[in-house]
Amino acid sequence: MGEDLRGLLRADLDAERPPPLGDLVDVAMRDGRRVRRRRRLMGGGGAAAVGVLALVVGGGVLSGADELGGVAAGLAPAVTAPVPSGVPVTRAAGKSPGSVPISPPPPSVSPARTRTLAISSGTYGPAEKRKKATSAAMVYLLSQLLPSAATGDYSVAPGGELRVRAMLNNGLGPGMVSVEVTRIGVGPPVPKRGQVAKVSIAEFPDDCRRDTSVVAGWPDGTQVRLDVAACLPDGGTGRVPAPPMLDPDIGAKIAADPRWGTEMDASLVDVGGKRYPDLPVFAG
Amino acid sequence: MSADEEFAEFAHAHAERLRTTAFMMCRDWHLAQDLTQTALTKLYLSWRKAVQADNLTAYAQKILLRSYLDHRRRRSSTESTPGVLAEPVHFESPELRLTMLDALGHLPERDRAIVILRYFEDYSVEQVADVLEVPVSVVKSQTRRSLAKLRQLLAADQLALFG
Repeated sequence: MGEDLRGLLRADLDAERPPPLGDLVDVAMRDGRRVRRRRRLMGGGGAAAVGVLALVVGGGVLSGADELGGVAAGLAPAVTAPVPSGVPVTRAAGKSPGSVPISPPPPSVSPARTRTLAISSGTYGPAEKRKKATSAAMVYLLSQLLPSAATGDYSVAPGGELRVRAMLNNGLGPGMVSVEVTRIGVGPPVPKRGQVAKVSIAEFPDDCRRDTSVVAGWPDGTQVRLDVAACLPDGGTGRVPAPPMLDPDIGAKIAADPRWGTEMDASLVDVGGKRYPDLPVFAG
Repeated sequence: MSADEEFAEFAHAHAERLRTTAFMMCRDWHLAQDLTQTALTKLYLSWRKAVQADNLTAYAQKILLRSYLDHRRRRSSTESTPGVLAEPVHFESPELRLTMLDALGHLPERDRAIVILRYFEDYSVEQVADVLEVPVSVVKSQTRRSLAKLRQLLAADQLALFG
């Protein structure tokens, strides 16, 4: 019976067309090294804070690998980060239940590594009618672009700013990604959007609040900034380490997606508004 | 050979198989890729302990399946998931026949993992119980139940294969 069942499964699998494995192993090793580096940077205090939190919320939220060999030790548990004391939290009118805290802006730290890429969008112009961008549309697009294993707990900046944030969990624990869209003045005349984004990737190993920062700039002045945090507020004055949520190269591809802008595809705006009518607002 | 080199050698040799297991569980190659990467990162972080395991491949499979079950648990708290078919389905036409992978998709996650480990990875009942951290008796009873359900779901020409 086992052979028959195995044969049927193999026949089904033979009919599949799996995508190439790519650099999956290299990325896994790079992520692993980053988690180790962060654990060292955060020191015993951070790890202890995580341990206490893990006990409070119950060991069940940590992955099974934790029991296998302390794999998740030093990683934050899979819960939304609590409000840090002393940090002001504002709430949008009528949206109080889900408001999310924000930390003070990070101090100026020089990146350890920067690189600049030119990424072609492969499109000559907008595919459909454009509408003024909204936070909900940004959240919707972000949810489409993030890796499928990650789930989002989204929030937006107050006052209609085009800045959104996602608390994600890729199986290693929670982490945070934020995206901001702005447009700087260029011209006159204002050039067209163009096909190629200039993308700068900066890594800040000494500033866990923006471990990786990606800025994609377009010829028409549109700028998309994506920040990946490597630590989260721990409910006190410190922060706890978070696992790498996005590989910098994936972050670059997300930031360089041609659908970001102060105007976005009408379908993104419409669907985003329906799907995310009442997003929590973070302060700052 | 350094620990990193040892890990890389193991990971390169087993990544494809791990991803195939993940795919059989989730039926989504992109998710399977993400789950495999997550599992390998966890394995990398616990490598020193992992190499002491009796069966390193089973250890890696264990991390992978736990990652998948964790992922499902998180997803199920935020979205509804398709349930198991309440009624047996009979497909008269070969074109409409369920594949084995389709049929597996109708089993609950843990039962699916049991069948995959038992009949695809060729693990013993005891090894399956260890990987999924359930009693041996549960593996046996769930296996019987799962095979009965697969018999119900699969087309007549495939039923013969189950004796």
